[in-house]
Amino acid sequence: MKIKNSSIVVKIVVLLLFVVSSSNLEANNLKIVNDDSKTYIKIWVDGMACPFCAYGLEKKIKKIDGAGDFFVEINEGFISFSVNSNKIPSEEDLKIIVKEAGFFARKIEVSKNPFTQEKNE
Amino acid sequence: MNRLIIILLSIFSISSVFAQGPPIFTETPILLGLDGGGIRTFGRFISKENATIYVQPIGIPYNIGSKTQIGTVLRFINKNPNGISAQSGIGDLIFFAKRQLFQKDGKGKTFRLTAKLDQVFPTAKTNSTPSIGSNSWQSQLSLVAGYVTLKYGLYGQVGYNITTNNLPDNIIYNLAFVYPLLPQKYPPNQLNLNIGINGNFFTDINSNTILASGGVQWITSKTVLFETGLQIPIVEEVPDTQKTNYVLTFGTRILIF
Repeated sequence: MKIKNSSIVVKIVVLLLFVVSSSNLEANNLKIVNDDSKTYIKIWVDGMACPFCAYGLEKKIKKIDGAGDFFVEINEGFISFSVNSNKIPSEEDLKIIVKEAGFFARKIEVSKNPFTQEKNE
Repeated sequence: MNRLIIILLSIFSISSVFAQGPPIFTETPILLGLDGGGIRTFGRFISKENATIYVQPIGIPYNIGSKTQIGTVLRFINKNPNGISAQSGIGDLIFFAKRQLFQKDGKGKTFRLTAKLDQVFPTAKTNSTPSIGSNSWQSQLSLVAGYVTLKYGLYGQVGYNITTNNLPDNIIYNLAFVYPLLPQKYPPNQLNLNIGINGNFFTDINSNTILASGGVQWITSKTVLFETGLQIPIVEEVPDTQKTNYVLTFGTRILIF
């Protein structure tokens, strides 16, 4: 009887492990799909000398269709954010947006991978 | 004598009651964030030898693009002279416009130069004693410069104020140093130390006034700022009875645009 009970326990544990690993696999797959749908942009911004000044830039960037994952690193002088991969703004457009916010875009990088996991929007 | 009170109050009102964005008592050439579209109220309690004055302004700026700003300032004024009944009312209307002339940016630093025009409309009542309004059109044109880095901010302003109705013209000159006491980060949670001087030289009567200024600001988020400061005269070439003991200020700015 004791052996039968422990067998049942083992079966339940194995089943649970299977369910958990399957859901993780599904989540990872979903994450990969999400990442594919996003493109990440990093802009090195000159003139960003006061944290409260950067809010205007955040507001301008957020007006870009599909923009998200906004992050400002004030000490390093860059902002990063994501856009839909099928709606990536041109470098010229991004420079204009930064200029209209009152700053100067020194360098722009584009990547399929996030530049940072942090967000501070 | 009463006229001199009016002059001093009017000049204070133009030059520093609505000083935009950090620093507290001097103009800034930066038109961004809380320096830009933030509604601001900044109560001032002025203690003089012969009166106490309270001014509660509310300033509403609006940015037209990143280089131009217009706005207006409305003020509630209470004057309480010694031995005379107090008078209160809405002060003269002020309209202002700022235009950025020069900008040089680097990593974590910027230098900007701005021209500013303040226009005072003598809209307040002048039939009381003491008078709430200045009864004078005043136009002030000034240059505002600022060098701001992540470690400190240095600001300066010099301007000329033209008056009507036989009030003396004056030159204003302000200098401020802002030092962040906390590490810079975003969203902001800043505590800033402000020190500076605020000067007025009345050209027609060769009278000079210089206030030493100190204050602190707490920027709690992207859109809200609290500040308080104290000004003490270090040079004040006016009759003893007109002398200022101190000016205490406290206020807030909230970003609305």
